[in-house]
Amino acid sequence: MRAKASMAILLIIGAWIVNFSLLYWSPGDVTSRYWGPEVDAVFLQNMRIEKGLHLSYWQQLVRWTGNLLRGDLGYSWTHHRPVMEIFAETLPATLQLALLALVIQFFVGGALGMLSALWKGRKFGMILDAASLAIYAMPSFWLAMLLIYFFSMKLNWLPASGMQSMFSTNFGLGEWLLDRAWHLFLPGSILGLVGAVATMRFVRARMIEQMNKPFVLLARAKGLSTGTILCRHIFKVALLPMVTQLGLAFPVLLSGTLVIEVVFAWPGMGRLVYEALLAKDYPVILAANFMTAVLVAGGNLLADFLYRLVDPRVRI
Amino acid sequence: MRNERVMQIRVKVGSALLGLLFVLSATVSWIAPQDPDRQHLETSGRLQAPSVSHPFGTDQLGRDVLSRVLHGSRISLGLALITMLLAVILGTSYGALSGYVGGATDRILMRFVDLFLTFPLIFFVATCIALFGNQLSIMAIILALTAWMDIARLVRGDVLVLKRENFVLRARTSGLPVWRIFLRYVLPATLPTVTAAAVLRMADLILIESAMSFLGLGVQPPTATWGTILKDGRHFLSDAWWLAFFPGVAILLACLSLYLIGEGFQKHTAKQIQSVR
Repeated sequence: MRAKASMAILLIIGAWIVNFSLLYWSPGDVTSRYWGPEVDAVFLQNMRIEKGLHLSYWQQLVRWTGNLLRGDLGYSWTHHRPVMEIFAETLPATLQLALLALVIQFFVGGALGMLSALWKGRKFGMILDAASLAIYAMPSFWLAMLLIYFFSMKLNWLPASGMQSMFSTNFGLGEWLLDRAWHLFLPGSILGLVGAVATMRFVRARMIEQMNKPFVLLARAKGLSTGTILCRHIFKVALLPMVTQLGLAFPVLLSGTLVIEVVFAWPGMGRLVYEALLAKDYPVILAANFMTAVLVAGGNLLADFLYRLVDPRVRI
Repeated sequence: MRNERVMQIRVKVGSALLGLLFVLSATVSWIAPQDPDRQHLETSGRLQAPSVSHPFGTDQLGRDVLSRVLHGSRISLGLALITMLLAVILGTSYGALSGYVGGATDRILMRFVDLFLTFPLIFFVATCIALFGNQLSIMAIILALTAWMDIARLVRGDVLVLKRENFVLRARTSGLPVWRIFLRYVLPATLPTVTAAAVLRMADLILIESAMSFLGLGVQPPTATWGTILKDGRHFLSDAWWLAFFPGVAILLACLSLYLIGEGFQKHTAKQIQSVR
């Protein structure tokens, strides 16, 4: 476990340094947004000094890292607010999306994976398999656009963008929650569906692998019913690796939020990073990527820990 | 047996589909009905629904969507292919080095691979492309940096086993230089695994590239790629579904064919290749 923890810390430090280096060596001038005939060079130079951009690589790295360690994530250059304040608004939005997606991914994906393994070779199993492969091969944003077209534009059932309705602050608590859920449904389920398909294919392969093992044959020879064999023997072994999938799902999920949040105008971390990238808002980019690394490293650690809990054979 | 046959069919269907897509993109200058950049700005020419003269409709500038999708396949498929080759070269050399040297070096090199695998790659790609520009050559390198890891892992695993095989030991005692041994004996043996991984990876690369272009970070307009057309499609979704629909179908078909081939190959290598998407 200690090795895993040091690995997680290494990941966070590595991501931080790589990120900073990318920003430092990227071409272009941050102040170019303010260029104009009436802006003089001294003003721009002062701006560079104010942001610490005139310093050398090491000086800047030490400065940024020092601020980070003191818990100061900096001040956004485009929002003109503390980055921490912006995160307090965007992180919960992304986590809502990611959690719903995670639940769908594991429950729906797991169930479908088992079903398609059980029905392997039969018509319904094949349909399920083909459908999962097709969804796997689709860009998630394309799927999102198709569903927005049908459910929001043609049928007018679900909202196409945003996290809440206008004037939702006047709603009562029940109404407000319903409004939130109504907005969350489409982006969350698309993100979940894309992940569920990967989980489904994983579970299916594991189940089929286990079904061909000698211990299943023995159980059958003992006269156990198929249902008992499945519930008591195969599920246990086949579903264990799903826990490691949890750790792997995290980075994929966060990657997914970047695109889905842009499509649905969801006010989360993904969209924040996207806009910061376009505007070269260094403090936001650095802090957001740091946050992502922490989330990913934490997710991996959690998955390892859970694996240890459910599988007594493993002592990490 | 039956399963084996299903797999064979999958590989055949996938190859046929992929072959068709490559033939189409190679001959695009002869078969595309119109110049993909020619505009028809009069109202009657813009955002036309699919018809006989424009089977996929026209976009907001009156350009023929079918021609744009066909021309777009060149960049979308070509970039993915080149990127995949770069990733294969990088991953194979890294994995071979790691497996061949072994010991502590191997452990450190593989830890580095683990680090890369856990990072959300879209963020990495988006950051790099946004900061370093979106010329095709830069994009190819950046995308390749995200795709080499599992190839390196697979090759390393193979090399670890192969370097103790008798035929390799014999080649070593006969004094062949290491790189010759690798090219002559080890590389051919790892080829099936590498091919399966590379084919699956190429599909992921098509998806990532299209996502980048869709976000406006990748290939820039007016150049047609599947991602850039989809980006236009998003803005005109309520008026012109065809603009968002057809390029997505093209991506779907390309990735589907690659997954079919890759999964078929994978059955023979008996190794799980995990997706990094």
